[in-house]
Amino acid sequence: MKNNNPKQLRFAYGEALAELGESNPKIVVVDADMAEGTRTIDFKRKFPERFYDVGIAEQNLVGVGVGLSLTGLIPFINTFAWLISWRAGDPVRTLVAYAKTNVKLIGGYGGFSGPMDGATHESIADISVMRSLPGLAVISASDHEQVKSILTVIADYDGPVYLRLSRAEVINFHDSSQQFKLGKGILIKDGNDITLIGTGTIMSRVLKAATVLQSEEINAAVVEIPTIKPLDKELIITMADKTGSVVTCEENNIIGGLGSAVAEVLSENLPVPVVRIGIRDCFGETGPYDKLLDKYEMGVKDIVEAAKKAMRISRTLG
Amino acid sequence: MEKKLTLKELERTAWELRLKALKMVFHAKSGHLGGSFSAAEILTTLYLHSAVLDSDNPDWGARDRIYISKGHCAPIYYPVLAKSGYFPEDELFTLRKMGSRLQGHPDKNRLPGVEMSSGPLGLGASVSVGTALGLRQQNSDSRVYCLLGDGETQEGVVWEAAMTAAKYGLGNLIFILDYNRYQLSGSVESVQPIEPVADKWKSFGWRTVSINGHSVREIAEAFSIVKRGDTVNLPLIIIANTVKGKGVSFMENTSAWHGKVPSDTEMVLAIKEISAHLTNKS
Repeated sequence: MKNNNPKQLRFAYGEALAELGESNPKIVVVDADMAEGTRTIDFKRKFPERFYDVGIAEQNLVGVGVGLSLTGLIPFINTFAWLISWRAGDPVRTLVAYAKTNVKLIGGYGGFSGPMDGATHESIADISVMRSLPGLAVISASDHEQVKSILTVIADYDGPVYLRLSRAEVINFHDSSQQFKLGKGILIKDGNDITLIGTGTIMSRVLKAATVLQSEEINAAVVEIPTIKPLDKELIITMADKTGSVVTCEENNIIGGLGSAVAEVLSENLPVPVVRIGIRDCFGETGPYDKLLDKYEMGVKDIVEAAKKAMRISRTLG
Repeated sequence: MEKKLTLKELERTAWELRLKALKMVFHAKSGHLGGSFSAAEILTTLYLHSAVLDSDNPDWGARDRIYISKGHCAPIYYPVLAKSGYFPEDELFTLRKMGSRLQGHPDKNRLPGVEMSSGPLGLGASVSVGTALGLRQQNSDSRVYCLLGDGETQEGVVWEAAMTAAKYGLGNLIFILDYNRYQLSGSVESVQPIEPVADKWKSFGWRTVSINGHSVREIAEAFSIVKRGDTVNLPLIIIANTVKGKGVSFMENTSAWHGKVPSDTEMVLAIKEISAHLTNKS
């Protein structure tokens, strides 16, 4: 049964983390004065002796988390997505990716999801940054059920992970039977005319775009890629082969994120038109979340137009 | 479990390992001698006398943890590890060779005994704080040591870590500051002063002890301040006053030998000077 009350994704994370803390005593949480925002507050209340707050110090946040992992614990390291990607960039590169430590980096407020704070607080390219680090798994969650499932999987996975979350309100489109598998994409809806590939909370818009396309008699396949790295190349190639053109959708810079990843795989294996929906290499601004997504060309109509464009290019290429 | 060396043996061993480091860097034609020579007695005493370790079982859960945050002192760190039995001594001359386990900076996933990869300065401070927290949470008696360079403490993350260590009262944590007073581009005093060192750490909530960092007796005494399972709730920093390039007159007290390789002529002189110390200690 799907619980379809709209809820911010971070709340689902907070609840799931506190729940997981019960079954896995090795889980510890490190935060940088953001527990109310990241929602690690739920874990903190339940397990104060396994919760560490280093204050506003993100390099130290990552270093302390890594140090905890070296004693056999499984740290979940939390702050804003942009702070963990940039301010803590070197600790993440050196201590997490290069040293291959078993830590879970959690980036809250991904994309434009903290929009009223403006461009400084919007994370426009954490996926691009994290994807460029060897050995780091990069995941972007789309709904509450999926967050729960992701946490269980990454806690068991022995290696470094970056998980991008969001403050956006979302409704479930997965149900509890759909278990997340690291490195596996999900064929949400099959189709023959075009493949829409999305990641993260923008999936709700991707699904709406597929419905609009259907009303215009374009049968779009919808693929969700929760794990941007390692990428499910097989599924992407199969669907590109079947439909002949692709649109990628993400709340991240079109440079270096999912769109780039998909384009890289297809250009080396099965060149078909790929049109990317995402932040078009610019900073955002203050504004209501949904309106910002529309203004910055991540609207349902943008996805629909992109699909038509990709199909047009495909036809031209013959 | 390692055999503990006596103070006399430690003294001699530090000079032997210094000579080894010199030859390794000369052979590799690359590496950092100045900050390796300043740390020779500190690392020799820590690994071969004070810390509780088992090189036959590098992952033994009850071991003390040692982090070398100033990873560029690899030329002395590696011989100390080899002497401790973590890997064969004849591998030392693969330093900085392609495919070697002895990378330019230490890599935990290649070389046994290396607790954490290091090189980018300051990060070891945070890692050691996290480890001290994790060990305490799991009721371990193990101590955590972290060797820092003096210039390294110009990195802000060191002070972030210092605050966290004090907040959580980490009595199982010991920093050692290799205070050799020189960094890559000049004296610490001229590049970015760090004084008053002891007062800074005290004001951050740390216990401090200042020693001669080339006296194995003083080093061993400082290490004996924190016993395994101590219930003291203050972290300790040992301010080890050292000489950059210690042991080779023309390398001492200068930043010029931070990362320089001796010429053939300089090498002859350097070997002679270090060997003279060995003769004196025999």
